[in-house]
Amino acid sequence: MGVVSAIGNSVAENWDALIRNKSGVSTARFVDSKHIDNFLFGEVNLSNDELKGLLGLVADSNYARTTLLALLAVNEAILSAQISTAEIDAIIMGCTVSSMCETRKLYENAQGIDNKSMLYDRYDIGSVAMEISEVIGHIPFHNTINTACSSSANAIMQGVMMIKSGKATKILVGGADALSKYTINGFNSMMLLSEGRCTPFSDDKHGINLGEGAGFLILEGEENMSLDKTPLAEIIGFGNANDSYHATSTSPEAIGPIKAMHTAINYAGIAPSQIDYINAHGTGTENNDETELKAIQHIFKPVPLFSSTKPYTGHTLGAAGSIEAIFSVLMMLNNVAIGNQINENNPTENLTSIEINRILSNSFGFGGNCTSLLFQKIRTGN
Amino acid sequence: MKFYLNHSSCISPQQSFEGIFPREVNLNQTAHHILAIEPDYKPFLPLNLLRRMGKISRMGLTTGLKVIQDSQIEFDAIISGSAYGSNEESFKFLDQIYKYDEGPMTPTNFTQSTTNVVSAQLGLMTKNYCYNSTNSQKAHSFENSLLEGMLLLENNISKHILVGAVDEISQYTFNLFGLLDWVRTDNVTPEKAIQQKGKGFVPGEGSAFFHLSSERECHESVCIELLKTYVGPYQLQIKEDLRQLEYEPDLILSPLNGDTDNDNTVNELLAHFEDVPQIHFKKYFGDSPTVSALSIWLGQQLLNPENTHFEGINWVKPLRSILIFNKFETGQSSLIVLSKS
Repeated sequence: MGVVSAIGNSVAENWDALIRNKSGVSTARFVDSKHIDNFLFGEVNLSNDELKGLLGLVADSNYARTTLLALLAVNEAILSAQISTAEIDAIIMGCTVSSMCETRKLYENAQGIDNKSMLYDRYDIGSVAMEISEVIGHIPFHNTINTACSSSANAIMQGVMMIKSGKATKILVGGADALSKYTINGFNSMMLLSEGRCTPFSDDKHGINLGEGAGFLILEGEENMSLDKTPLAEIIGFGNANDSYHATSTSPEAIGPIKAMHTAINYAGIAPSQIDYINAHGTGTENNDETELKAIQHIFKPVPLFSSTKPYTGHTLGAAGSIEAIFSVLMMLNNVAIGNQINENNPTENLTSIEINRILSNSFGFGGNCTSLLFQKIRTGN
Repeated sequence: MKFYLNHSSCISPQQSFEGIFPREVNLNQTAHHILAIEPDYKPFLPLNLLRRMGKISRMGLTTGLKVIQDSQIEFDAIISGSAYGSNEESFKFLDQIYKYDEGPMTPTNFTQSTTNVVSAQLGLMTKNYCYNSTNSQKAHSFENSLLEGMLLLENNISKHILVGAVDEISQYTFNLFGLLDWVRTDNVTPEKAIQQKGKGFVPGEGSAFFHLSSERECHESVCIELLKTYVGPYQLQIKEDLRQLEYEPDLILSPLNGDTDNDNTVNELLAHFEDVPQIHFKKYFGDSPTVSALSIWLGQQLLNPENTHFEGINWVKPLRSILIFNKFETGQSSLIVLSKS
């Protein structure tokens, strides 16, 4: 696993921030937008030049921030899985912004103005996967899913299906998105941005903190794993459904979220009561949180512990599903549930030590795209 | 497991939506690109929605809805592919950002600009709560969508899949292609371009949707015998795979587009099949990253015997299998074999 987000540039840094209750949501420094004065964002604490330095790329290399963030997480994932790049037979990722984070360059190029950006064929969504393959070594299959905020959860799901069908053995799955003037103004035009830190599921919800980052995981089929390797977790269920209610808001009946969670639980063949924790989508908007809560209450009786990690990272859009999948695995490995109420006066309030054997991770997006992933702890001694 | 394409629908620079078979390209459409012939959308799309819809939504939704209508089946997965999504809407929103210096603006262009708009709207308009996905991987956006559908069938997650692809030529895509020096600027039709090689291709646009399943569902059903995608330095692998095809196809749909380099590569790769007749499908559709969806629609038409009188080629026997080779400037290639078996 590899992750970069507003709370750190590695899995260890992210976990450390989560258990210390340190949020990365604050005033943005790098993204080019007037709105950094009005709203708080979950910006990765590295400039593009610093990212290039960490990646060993020359300063004038032409990759946009989304790709730089992705590469940092990809490198960590490959290193920690102890595999070589040559063994990876597919990359499947979620992305919604791609090189559009270079918004001004795109605006000029789209009008035919040659600003020497050299990104002319790099603004489309599929470019990041191609660039990752370019940098780390040739990967024979690339795919990118754009189902808005559930993109990288769907990428993980598609990776699992590829492995189950025998079409690949080791897959790099994940997602990446950088903050951009485009998305900031998009969410602002819908009046969804928050001036303070988002507070999912609280009485005082006031919107989203847009964030950025990347999360990547190596998926391997059990049959193909070497015996001396212990996997971090098992994916035992997944569900994709559509809410089919409205382009940008979820239905009051929570049809899509209920169906996605149900499908994942049924696929795993377990009872809802066997799920110990739900890592919710929890964006901090009234619409999402009320619908999601309703769906959770519909399926789970009693409702297990649940929370959202978005107050720490912000909403990382196309990267959210995979970053939160990684956080889910970490919570399971450590038997620690991370709460969503950030309270700096009481930094331990957010931690709950519980035995977590199974965790459900939700990702819902514009267009009604709802996906739930179900992870299970690896039993040692088997 | 076998995979079949059943009912299908296509909007393209041809009158494909009306089922009129491609004969000749409309010569009026030679402003360095050829636009789709858009059908009367009113039977498919409510006027109030239509007015606000971008072109990829109009084309994608209508071809998708037509397949839903014709198949009379409850689909349990909706998957679409698009390399560029709604460029037109994205640019309108960008324009607002800079025009109003990030001031207050209307969200319509933003919400319409998301790549998943076609799959999402197809779900919304038909109140379908099933699996819903959108792939955006350059010139593999359609192939990967088809693959995703096959994965759903193989994993027993879905049985009837609505799968398709759509891309539009907006002024902005066209400008970006121009900066890359990808466009033929001598104002020729795609057909002329292929005859008189030069630099670049003639961009086109369109949408095609299919009902994919593991059973033959209608008279027009064709079987997908092979689906292979290639990225990067793929030429040796394609050569090898072509050599190893189990049988010789009766026809090849080949991706000549008039660009000298492209056409030389294609001809070299297909040299192995010099006795097999070829149709250069890009002369009907122009070139686009998801033109493979249109070419598969064409392949399906050709495999249905009532359509095999085409272009003065007299088939000595009914076509049984067609090899569709696609290749686009962004570096992706694919091989697809369709059969009537």
